[in-house]
Amino acid sequence: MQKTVEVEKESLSFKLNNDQALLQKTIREVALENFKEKAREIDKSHRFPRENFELLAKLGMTGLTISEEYGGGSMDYVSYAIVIEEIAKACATTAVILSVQLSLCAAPIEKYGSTELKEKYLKKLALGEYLGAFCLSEPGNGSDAAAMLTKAENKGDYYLLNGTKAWVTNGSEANVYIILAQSTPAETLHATSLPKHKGVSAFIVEKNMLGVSFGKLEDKLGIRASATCQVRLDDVKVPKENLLGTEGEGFKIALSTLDTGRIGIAAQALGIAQASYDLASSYAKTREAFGQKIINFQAIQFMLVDLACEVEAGRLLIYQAAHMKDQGLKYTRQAAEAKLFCSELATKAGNIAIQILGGYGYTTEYDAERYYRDAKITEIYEGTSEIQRLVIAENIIKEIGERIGEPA
Amino acid sequence: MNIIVIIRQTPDTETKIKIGSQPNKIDPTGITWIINPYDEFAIEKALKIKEQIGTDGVETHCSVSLLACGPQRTEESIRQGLAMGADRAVFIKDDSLEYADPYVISKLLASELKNMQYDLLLSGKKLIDIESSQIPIFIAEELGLTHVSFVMKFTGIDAANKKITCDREAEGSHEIIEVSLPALITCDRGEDFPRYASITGIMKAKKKEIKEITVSKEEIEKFGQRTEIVSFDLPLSRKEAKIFEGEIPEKVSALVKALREEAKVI
Ligand SMILES: Cc1cc2nc3c(=O)[nH]c(=O)nc-3n(C[C@H](O)[C@H](O)[C@H](O)COP(=O)(O)OP(=O)(O)OC[C@H]3O[C@@H](n4cnc5c(N)ncnc54)[C@H](O)[C@@H]3O)c2cc1C
Repeated sequence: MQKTVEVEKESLSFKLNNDQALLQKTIREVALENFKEKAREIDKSHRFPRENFELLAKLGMTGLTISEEYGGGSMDYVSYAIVIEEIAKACATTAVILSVQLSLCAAPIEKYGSTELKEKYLKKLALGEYLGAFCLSEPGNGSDAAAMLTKAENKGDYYLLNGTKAWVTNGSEANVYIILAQSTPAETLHATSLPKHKGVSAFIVEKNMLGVSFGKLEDKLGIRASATCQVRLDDVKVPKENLLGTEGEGFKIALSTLDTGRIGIAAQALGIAQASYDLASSYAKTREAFGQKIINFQAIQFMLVDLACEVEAGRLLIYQAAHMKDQGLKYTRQAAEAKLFCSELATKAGNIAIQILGGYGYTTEYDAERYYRDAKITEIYEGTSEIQRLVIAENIIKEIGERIGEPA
Repeated sequence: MNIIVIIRQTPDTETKIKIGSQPNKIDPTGITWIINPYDEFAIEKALKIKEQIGTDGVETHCSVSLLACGPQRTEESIRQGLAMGADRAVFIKDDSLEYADPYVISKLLASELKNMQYDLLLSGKKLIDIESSQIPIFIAEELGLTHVSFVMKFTGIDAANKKITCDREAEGSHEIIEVSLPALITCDRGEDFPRYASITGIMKAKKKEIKEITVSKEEIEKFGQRTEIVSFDLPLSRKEAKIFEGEIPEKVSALVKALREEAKVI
C-alpha cells in the first residue's frame, strides 16, 4: 500500500493575502486618480498637499499600522510597504508624508508611550487629525546623531528644551514632533564616562507649545512639497509626562524607529523605481527611431531587463523585512538591505527612464526627470547609503561571531 | 428594505485584450479583474439608499447584499464590494461560468434569487466587456418583476410605501419613473463616484458573510446555453489620418481625388 505524505502547504508563499490584495488595489486607484497628476503641480509650487493627507485620513490610511484600540487599522507592515509603494508610484512626496506619520511618529508612541500618551496623541494621529514628524538630525550632525546639541534639562515637573533640529519632513505642517535631545549634562556624561548616546531622551512636543518655531522651507532637488524645515526650540517647557520611554532611552528609541522607517523609505524608493520602469517601457514600445520601435533595440531591452529584475528583487527584500517585523523577529539588517538596495535602484531607474525617453525625458513634459530628482533623497534620509552599509556590516560581523567554527 | 446588487467581474478598462490559444477564448494572463464599472455604480447607489434610510440602533432598516457568479477570482470583487459597505454576499462559484451565456447566467441567478428576500434588485446597465445589457432584464422577466433600465439616479425613496422614483436620460430629456417595489433597476453612472474601500471597511469586511454556493455541471447544462461564442477578433487598428498640404483649392481637389481613387467612396 502506498503511504501518503503530508506536504506542508504554505512553506513559502509569494501571494498577498486577501486584505493586502484589496488594499493594494484600492490604494493604487486612490493614488492614480488623486495624486498622480497633482504631483507635477506640487513639485513646481512647493505647496504641501494637505488635501492628499486629508483623503488618506478619510480612508483610514493615516492609522494603517496603528492598533485598532487607538482607532487605527491594525494592518501589518507588508500592508504598510504596499501602501507606501503605491502612493510613491504616483507621488513620492505624499508617500514620505504618510511614511513619517506612521513609522517615525505614531510607531514609537505606540511602542514606548504610556497609555495616557497613546490616548492623547495616537488616536488623533490615526484619524489624521494630527500630522506627525520626527526630529533627530541637526544642522551640525546627521549620520553622527549622538553628537546632537539639543538639550533637555530636567526641571522636575517639566523638561526645558533648547536647540535646533534640521531637515524635518512635514516640518511646519505637523502638529506633533518626536524630539530627540541630550538630557544628561556634559559633566555627568564625563564623570560617569557614559557614551553620549546613552544620555539621549525622546519627547513628544506639540506645535503650539511656547517656544517652538520654524525655519524657512528648504528649497530641494526633489520631494519638493514635503515641507522640510528646521524646528527650533527656545526654552520649550515639555511636561514630564511627554517623555517617551525612560530618560536615556532616546537613542535606542530612535534607532528602532528608523528600522521601521527604512521599510517605508525602501517602499517609497521602490515605487519611484517601478514608476520609472513603467514609463520607460511603455514609451519604448511607441517611440520610433531608424524605422522601428526603440524597444526592438537590444540596448534598450537590456536596460529594461535589468530594471525589471531589480525591481522584483527590491520588492522581495522589502517584503522580507516587513514580514520579519510582523513575525516579531529582529529585522535591522533586512530593513537596511531593503533600503540600501531600493534607494540606489530608484536613482538608477530614474536615470534610465530619462535615457530611454531621450530629450523628452529631460523636460518636465514627462515625469522621468521628477522621478530622478525624487529618487535621490532616498539614498540620504533615514540613514545614508554609507550608514546602511555600516549597519549591515555590523550585523554581518555579529552573525559571523555567533557561528560555531568548523571542526578542526 | 432589502437591496440586492447583482455584480459581475470584467477585465479592467486598461486591459490590452489578447486572444487565447482557442479563438473563442480570451487569454487571461496579465488581466486585472474589476467589478464591472456599471455594477460598481449600482453598489454605490445601493449604499447611498442605505445611508439615506439610515440605521436605527441594532436594527438596520436597510441591508445591501451582493449576488455574484463566476470563477474563484470573482471573490476579490465581492470582498471589495463588502469593504465598500455591502453587508453580505452570495457567491455562486463555478469555473465553467466564465464563458456561460447571458441566458444561462440569468437563469442561474434568478433561481438563486427565488430563495432570497429583496425589495429592490440593482445591477449595472451593461457589462463593459461583452457590451451586454441582457442579464438583469432576463432576471426581471424570469422573476416577473417590473424593471427600469439605464437609471441615472433615484429622486425619491419611499421605504414605507415601497416605492422608488427613478430618473433616466432619454434622448436629451429626462424621464421620471415611479415604480412600486419589488422591482429591478439597471444603473447608469449619474453623478455617482463609487467610494473607495476604507481601512475600516476592509477590516469590517473580514467579518462579513460570503455564502458560497456550488452548482453541478448538470444544473448549468439544464438551463441550455442559447448562444455560443465562435471566435473573437480584435478590432482593426485605425489607420493614421492623412493630412493634405497646400492652398485650399489644391487641398480640396486632392481630397476629392483621394476619396474617389483611394477610399472609393464617391
Ligand atoms: C529632504 C530631507 C528630509 C529629511 N527628513 C528628516 C526628518 O524628518 N527627520 C530627521 O531627523 N532628519 C531628516 N533628514 C536628515 C537626514 O536624515 C540626514 O541628512 C542624513 O542622515 C545625513 O546626515 P547629514 O546630512 O548630516 O550628512 P553627514 O552625516 O554630514 O554625512 C555627509 C557624508 O558623509 C558620509 N558619512 C558620514 N559618516 C560616515 C561614516 N561613518 N562612514 C562613511 N561615510 C560617512 C555620509 O554618508 C554622507 O555621504 C532629512 C534630510 C533631507 C535632505
